[in-house]
Amino acid sequence: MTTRTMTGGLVPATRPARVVKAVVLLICCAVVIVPFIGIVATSLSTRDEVVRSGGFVMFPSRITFAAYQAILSGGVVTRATVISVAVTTVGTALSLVATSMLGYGLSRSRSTLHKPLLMLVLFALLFTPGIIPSYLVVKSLGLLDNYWSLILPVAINAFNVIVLRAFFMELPREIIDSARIDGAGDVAILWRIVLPMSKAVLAVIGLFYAVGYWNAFFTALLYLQDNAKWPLQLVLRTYVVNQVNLGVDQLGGVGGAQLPPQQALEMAILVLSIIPILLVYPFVQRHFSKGVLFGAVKG
Amino acid sequence: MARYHTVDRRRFLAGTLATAAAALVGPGVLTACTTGTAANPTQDVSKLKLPSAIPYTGVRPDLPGNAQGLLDAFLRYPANPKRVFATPPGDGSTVSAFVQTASPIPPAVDSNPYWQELNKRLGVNLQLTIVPTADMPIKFSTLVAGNDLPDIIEPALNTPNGMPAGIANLPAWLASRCHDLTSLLTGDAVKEYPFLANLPTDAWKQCRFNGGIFGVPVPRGVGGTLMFRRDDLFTQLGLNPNPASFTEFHDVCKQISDPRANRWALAQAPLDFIRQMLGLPWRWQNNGGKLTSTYELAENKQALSAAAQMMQDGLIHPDSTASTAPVKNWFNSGEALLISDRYTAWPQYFQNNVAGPSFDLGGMRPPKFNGGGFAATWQAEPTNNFTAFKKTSTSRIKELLKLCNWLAAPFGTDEFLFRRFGIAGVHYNMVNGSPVQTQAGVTQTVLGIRYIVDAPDVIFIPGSPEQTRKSYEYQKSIIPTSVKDPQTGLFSDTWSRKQGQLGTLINNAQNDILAGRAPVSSWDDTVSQWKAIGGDQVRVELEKALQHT
Repeated sequence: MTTRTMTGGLVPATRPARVVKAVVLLICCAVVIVPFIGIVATSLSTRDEVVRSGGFVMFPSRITFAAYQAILSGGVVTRATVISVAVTTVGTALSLVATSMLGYGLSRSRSTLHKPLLMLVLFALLFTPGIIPSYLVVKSLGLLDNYWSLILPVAINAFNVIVLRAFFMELPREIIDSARIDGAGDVAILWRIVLPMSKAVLAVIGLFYAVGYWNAFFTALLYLQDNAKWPLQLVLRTYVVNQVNLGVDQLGGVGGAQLPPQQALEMAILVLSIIPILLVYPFVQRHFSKGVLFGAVKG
Repeated sequence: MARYHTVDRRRFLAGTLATAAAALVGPGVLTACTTGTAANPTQDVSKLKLPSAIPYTGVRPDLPGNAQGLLDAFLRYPANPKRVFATPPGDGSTVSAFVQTASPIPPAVDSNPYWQELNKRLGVNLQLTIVPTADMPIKFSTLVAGNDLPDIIEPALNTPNGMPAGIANLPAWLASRCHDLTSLLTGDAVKEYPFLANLPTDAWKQCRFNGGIFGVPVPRGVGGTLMFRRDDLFTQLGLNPNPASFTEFHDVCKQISDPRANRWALAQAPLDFIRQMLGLPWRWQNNGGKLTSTYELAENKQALSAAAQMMQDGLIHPDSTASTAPVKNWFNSGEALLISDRYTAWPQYFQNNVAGPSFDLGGMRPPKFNGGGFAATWQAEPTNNFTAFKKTSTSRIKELLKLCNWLAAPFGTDEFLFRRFGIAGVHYNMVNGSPVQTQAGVTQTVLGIRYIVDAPDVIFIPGSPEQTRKSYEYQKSIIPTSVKDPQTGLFSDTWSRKQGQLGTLINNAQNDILAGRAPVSSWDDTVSQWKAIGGDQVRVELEKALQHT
């Protein structure tokens, strides 16, 4: 009788099986990494190389930052980046505060108008307003061409409220009761007891909100008339949607200077737009798996 | 001839989204009007006198155009361009405009010296809402629904050739919200604005609504789409540049195509090229006021069959149906030696080439299918888009028309040079008689003002008098026999609403046949569907419009 059968644990894989697993995992990694390398490499390639490779370069022989220079020149992208960062920061903070308060209120089953408010939130989850009604509401509130139009209409997400409410309801009632006995009011309980215990789920929801604000372009397209107020994603989108063949085709037969090739610009835009998320993700990653798994296993 | 029939997936997606958005926002759009086609006032324009055409003669082209549609050509930008406005046309007021851009968004006015100088030269504070072309329909719909109209409005015309698309009841909306310009522009009244009078008469036809003139046009040459040919590689490979029949064309394509050398004859399926070989019309055949769609004609199936055969024979780039196929790259790198594109792309191919000084371009004329000379080509729409003016006092409209007059100053003038290229030394430098833009010029000058109104198009390939001459000679060879489509300048509300849906149906069916997924015989069913979902109604409306012109 071998040690393996005595311990009764998992049987270690044989060498060929481990090799197969390694190969499969390598292929999986390559599927993710190779396109990413291609994106970065193409964004750093010269026009000649992009044209000759058919649009996707893996190993550029000469590196150029022309695509990044083209995008970042003129101050449009830097200005839009500042706007995006501000909208994302303020919006995420506001959304977290509002969502936490609403979620906490709805998690207290004896709070005033608890049921109708919950129904209202569920209704908003199922039936979203159309483009024109939203536009008319924003207009009637005097928010057109105002940065708040990018935040307030989407400040509270019903799905996030429901998730947070469910999390709050799972918190041990005894802790909240003891705080109440000690004289804490609802605000103090929320701020000092509930929220500190909910860091994981708040991190997840905060990331959802932040990604939503960062990636939003449609609200800006609808509500902002002044292009100087456009956030980053809407500015970058003009490079992709309009295909940037800024040469003479768009100039109606009279000439202009060359921009870097379209593929290089598109890839540079991709790189630029994912940098903030790449920077933020490591800090919330440890909360992320915990928060996402919340409720997956009960017992 | 991709510009006529083929809709790439990105454009299709944009069109589909726009259609869906239009469907969503439709009721909002119609707050200004009532629902249904009956809401549109009569489109009888038989009594309308279009603005007189009084060509500007202050600049002499190196190669003259003609009234048939051949464009003037310039081998270099005229030296010492004349300033044609002594004073700014504006009155110092603020003017708002809603325009599209086909370029990345430019810097805001406070950090854009070009925009600041433009305001100074125009004598106004120009406030622009610049919207990416693909987003125009949805943005336009919300503006209309919210009644937030600027002074100058470019209705969302989300089609390559500028026909109305995705806007229900456009004439009714124009009548309700926009100024009727007829009394200010009809006949000789346009002389008040000499550079608007310099626009070709045909370009004004798309501004006709409700029996009057409701906009100013952005004109384009009718040269349209052509089959670009890599003349340097044709010479190198010893190929016949002008095949005399479809059989010869097929043979040339076969000689070119060599997958081992990563080389194919065509960047896309040459469906429209073959249609022209067969004498098919672009959209409609007019027989005494009765219209027959090109899709209904028997020769169309022959064209589909021939194009599908070329696909099977491996003469077309195998990735040509991919959504983001970089067809221009293939052409520039020599992976494909023939590509169909608009004549305006000629300078771009020249500038973007990576072949060096040997790079040479030409245009391949379609031969008659069975030989016996060249086939007639199709004329494109003479108007890219038009611009309407929000209803206001006549005196205000006159001020806006003065601005448009400035914005239409023709090629060769100082105003055009500034408008298109910016400030000398800052936004461009003159190199051998051609303005070459700096990076600042590229980013700052793309304000979209050329979509408010524009000067007549010209042929000018900066830095290459030889290419300018070739482009001109090509147009000169095709214009005399080119055919105008009967739909040009006519309005059909059904076409306006359903162009995306009808185009998608046709496009999908064509692609299925070309890829061998469906037999050519399936085309009859497609045509029946096309007729049922709107094709027949479009025909009825266009025939009616034809009677009224």
